Amino acid sequence: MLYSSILLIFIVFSVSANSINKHQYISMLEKHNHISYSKIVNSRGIYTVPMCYAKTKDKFTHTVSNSCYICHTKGSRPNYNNDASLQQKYSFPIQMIKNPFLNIFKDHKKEIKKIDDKMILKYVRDSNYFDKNGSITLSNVLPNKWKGYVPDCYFNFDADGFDKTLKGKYTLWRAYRYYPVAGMFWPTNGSSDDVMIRLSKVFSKDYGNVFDIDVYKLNLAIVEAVVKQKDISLENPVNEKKYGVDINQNGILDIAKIVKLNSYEKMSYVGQAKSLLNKKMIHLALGLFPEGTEFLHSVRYLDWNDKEKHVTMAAHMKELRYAKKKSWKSYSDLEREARKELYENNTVSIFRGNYEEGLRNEMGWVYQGFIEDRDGLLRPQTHEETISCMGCHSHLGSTTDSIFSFTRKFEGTEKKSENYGWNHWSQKGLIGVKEAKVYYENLGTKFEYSFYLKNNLSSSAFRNNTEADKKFFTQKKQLKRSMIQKLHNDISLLLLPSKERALKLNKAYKVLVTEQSYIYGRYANIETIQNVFDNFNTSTTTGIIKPIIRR
Amino acid sequence: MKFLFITATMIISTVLFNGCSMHQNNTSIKNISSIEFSPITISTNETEKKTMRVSKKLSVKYTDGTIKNYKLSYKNFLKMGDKIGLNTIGLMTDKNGNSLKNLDGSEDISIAPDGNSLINVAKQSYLITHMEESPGSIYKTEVTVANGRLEAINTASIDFSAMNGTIVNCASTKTTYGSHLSGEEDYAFNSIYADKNSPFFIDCALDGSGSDTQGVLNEFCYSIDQMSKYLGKRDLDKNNGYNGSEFMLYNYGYTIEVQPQADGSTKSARHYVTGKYTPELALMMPNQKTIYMTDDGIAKGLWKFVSDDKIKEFQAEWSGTLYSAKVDQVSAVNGGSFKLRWIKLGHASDSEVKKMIDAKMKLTDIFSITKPDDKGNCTTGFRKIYEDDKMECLNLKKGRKKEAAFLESRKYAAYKGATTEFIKEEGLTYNVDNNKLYVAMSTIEKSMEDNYKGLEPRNDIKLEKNSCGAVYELTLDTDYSATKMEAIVIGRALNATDMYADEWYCSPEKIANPDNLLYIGHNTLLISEDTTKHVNNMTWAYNTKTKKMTRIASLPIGAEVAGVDKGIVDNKAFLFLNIQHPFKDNPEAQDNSKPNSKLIEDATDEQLKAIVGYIDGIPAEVLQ
Repeated sequence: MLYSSILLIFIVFSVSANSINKHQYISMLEKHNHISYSKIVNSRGIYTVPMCYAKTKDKFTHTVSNSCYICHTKGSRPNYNNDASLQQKYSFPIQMIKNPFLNIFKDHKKEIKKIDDKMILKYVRDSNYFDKNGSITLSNVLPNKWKGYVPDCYFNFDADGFDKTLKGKYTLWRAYRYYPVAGMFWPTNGSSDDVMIRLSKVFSKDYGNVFDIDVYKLNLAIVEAVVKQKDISLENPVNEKKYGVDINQNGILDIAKIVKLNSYEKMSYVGQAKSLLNKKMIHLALGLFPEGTEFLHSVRYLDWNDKEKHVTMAAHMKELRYAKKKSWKSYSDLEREARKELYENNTVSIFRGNYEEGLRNEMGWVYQGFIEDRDGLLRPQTHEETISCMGCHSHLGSTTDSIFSFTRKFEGTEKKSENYGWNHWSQKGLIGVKEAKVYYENLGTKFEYSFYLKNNLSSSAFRNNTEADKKFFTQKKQLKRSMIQKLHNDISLLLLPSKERALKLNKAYKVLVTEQSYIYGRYANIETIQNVFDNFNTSTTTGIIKPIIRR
Repeated sequence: MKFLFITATMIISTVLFNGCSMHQNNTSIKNISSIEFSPITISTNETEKKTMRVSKKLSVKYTDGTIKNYKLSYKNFLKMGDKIGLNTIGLMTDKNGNSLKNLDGSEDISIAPDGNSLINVAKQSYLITHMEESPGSIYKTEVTVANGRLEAINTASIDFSAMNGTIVNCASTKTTYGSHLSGEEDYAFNSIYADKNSPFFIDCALDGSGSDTQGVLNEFCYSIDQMSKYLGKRDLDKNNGYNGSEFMLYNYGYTIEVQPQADGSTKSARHYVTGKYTPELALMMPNQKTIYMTDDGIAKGLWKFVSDDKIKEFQAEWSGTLYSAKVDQVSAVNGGSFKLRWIKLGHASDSEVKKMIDAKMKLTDIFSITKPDDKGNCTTGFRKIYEDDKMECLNLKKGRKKEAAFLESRKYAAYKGATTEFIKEEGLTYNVDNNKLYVAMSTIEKSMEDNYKGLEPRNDIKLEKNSCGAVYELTLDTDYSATKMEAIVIGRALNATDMYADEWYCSPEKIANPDNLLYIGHNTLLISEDTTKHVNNMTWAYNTKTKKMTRIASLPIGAEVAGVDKGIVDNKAFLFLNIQHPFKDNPEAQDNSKPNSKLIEDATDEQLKAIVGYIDGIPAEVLQ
């Protein structure tokens, strides 16, 4: 009650900058949601995800499913992590042998029945990010001296994907489209999401220290080439003379149509960032983002577009996740951190930091997030909830500088093309997006999602998405060739669920919101998950003999 | 007498007047009858847990009955990455001494300083410091005393290119003649992984990533890749035990000797005759012939080398006989006691062994090897042995006894019936006052338990599990040969209802997982910990006469005590003690919970830096 009324005061009177102090704010949230911000209530080990406990051996068919390779693989330099062995064995610290994600063992059918379709559709269509005046609720609610991230993206994107304030000022956030990580990030398995990137301000300044959106745009393309370690086509030709940088690496300053990959010494940012690079105040290394880079990732419910008859991204956020690269780590630093895993006993990982400023990983990043409170408003995650970010954004071989989505960004430069990269999903969705091809060691180039289905023998890690499985597999668990052919041309056939399933998934997750039980798992399971261990002994193997290594 | 007394009194007053100033006058030395460190408390609050604390005071009692108190403090000396003179300490280099730069141009700085030796040569003093790494590295730092503090003048990594590098330089000791002995604590290069004819063979990708051909990270492949990086060559032959033009698996895992010279140069040698296993360190006895070596890991041996002649100064070539201990358990009580016998493995010289290595041998040139069957049995003709936590069936090939003794020391020791059931043997130190040798056994479990896994072929050691570890005392005969082994200081795991059980796994009144040992004279044995079973790793002073234990150092949480050594520069004494990996290990309580996780989580980047430092204030006469 107290909480709601105080919040109401904030919203109604738009109290300028948040007059309650941090302590009051946090204790109010603790009371209202029956949570603890500092204490570990369930387990410090919930940086793993429920999928890590998936049973890979099928009880009935005796087949072996491999969805593990999506995360656990040999990293590409400078990701020196190599956790491919986790495809083969369930290697948990002793404290984690018992599955801490109790929520996935619950059957939510009863609770789901109590929520009617209209109610859930209304819920997911109500924004919990903006208030009625269009200002960002959290930025009004967070206390004055909040040391962590204060949301400042307006989700107001221009044709180039740049975000602008209501007054039309660039926030420097830029949205991009990407191939969702196979399985867990497909809307058919629970949520829709979007990602924005922002480089530090210097990347938007020209040599005279004046803001120039073209400088920023070019720097983003350079960062894309550097991080992906590949050539990147430019949307518009660039006059290199203007920047004094040989962007296409042809030895002369002329008109560049691509950012050509070269060694780190031969590449450079442009504008003010170039000056700082020359002074060694910022860095450039292949496979790494420059310091100060930020990511914003909203995870959302599934909405239904009545007109076009397909699932879309909802206005209502389940979570708002944030990452910032706070410090530079060289290849040598990164290699040392990664190799420590060889010698460290199998113990529960520790991530330094706190709920307010976020938790740090060894790559120099800080991760932090906001999640729904019991009323559906966004609140900062507790310390324990923040730990949930860290398993995926730390020791995995599958990330690039601990980020998933950016190397998966579309590279199309034509605004009309299905694979145009710099747009928000709300500007251009998943329909008609062609399937990506990926190279796997010893196996060659494969269609990424088809390959996942083939190896996992299902569309989800728990093999519990009967809707998509029915669409893509015969009763004998054989892949339907005709569907795979169609999938190559339109990934939405696999990724988007039916309205019925979407609403069920929304409801299943809403149950967790009401319970505020995220520390026991955030997976939107409609019923009890079967293909999962609740407990197992350390010698249990996955049955996967040859790990799949993505290059 | 009277004159002497007056001098002594004057000196005492001077010292007192100077507020325990450090400069002692050699001429004033009186005999010390005992020393006593003031105890430090068990850390209770966050500040105590997070900081380095050492005894505030050392009381020195003289034979004339006088007592002097010396104020002690801990001084940070250097940290890895410090620029000293023209070089950077801890910088990893290749065979040619060039920085091992990564592809982004970054330099690689070690984060694992370990063994230290403070060595005086002519008028110079050097601190020799290990990097516990693959490839290994040892830095020689010239030091001096200025304004009462130790100062580093310049540093350089010692050139081991002539011996194709070194690996995982762990703990160290000084020889009787003042050189430095380093243990190449190599876990990875067990030949069972390198030989295609071995059932344990690992097929490495050899692409520099540390992975096998399936793409899975592997410690053996990683170590091979790291040594290749150092050597700058990748011409390894998987069909011949991974031997290459410069890399040979049998070249690593021995004792390295380093001797700074008066002209500023450094001599070094690898003493192959001390045997190949996972040496933590080697320790020379006063007879200058007998050297003991410990072997770190699970299912390991205890080693003794007896030189043919006295070793009175640095010499590149040693020759002598290698032995492995065979224990007969007398008692299982309180860490147990054992009779010791020594099984002779073979006689050789360094150059003889080196020749065998240069011939690019592999395991199956020496032994035939198979795995035991499902019931744990070996086929006829093969002997079952247990070493390095592996059960193997071996059959020695004809005419290969010497190769077996020196290139496959642990396998051959087990084959001949020696005891390879020790676990995590760590520090070694010698008590000149009572002719005893001390060995730290980090923990008593697994291979030291009664028939671990039900498969031990010998089962010589049958002790109750004690995961807090013990320090053993070895009784030596007149030839410095150990005849008896008995636990003298043991740790104790707490019960749930015990005091301290909410934060400590092992009792803070006793040791936990002892590692570095150093006998400093005056019946004082320093026992240092490498443990996650105490909230803070500690160094203890154990009085070998009165059996009294005194806590003298408590490290920042998450750090291990390393590099314990004593030395004197300019008549000023230094007791070295490294703070390795502070805020990294997360200590566990009796119930295996980790109640101090918050402190580890809150660590700043500055707090995470490893420190080489020393206890300051001990008078030189005490450590002389």
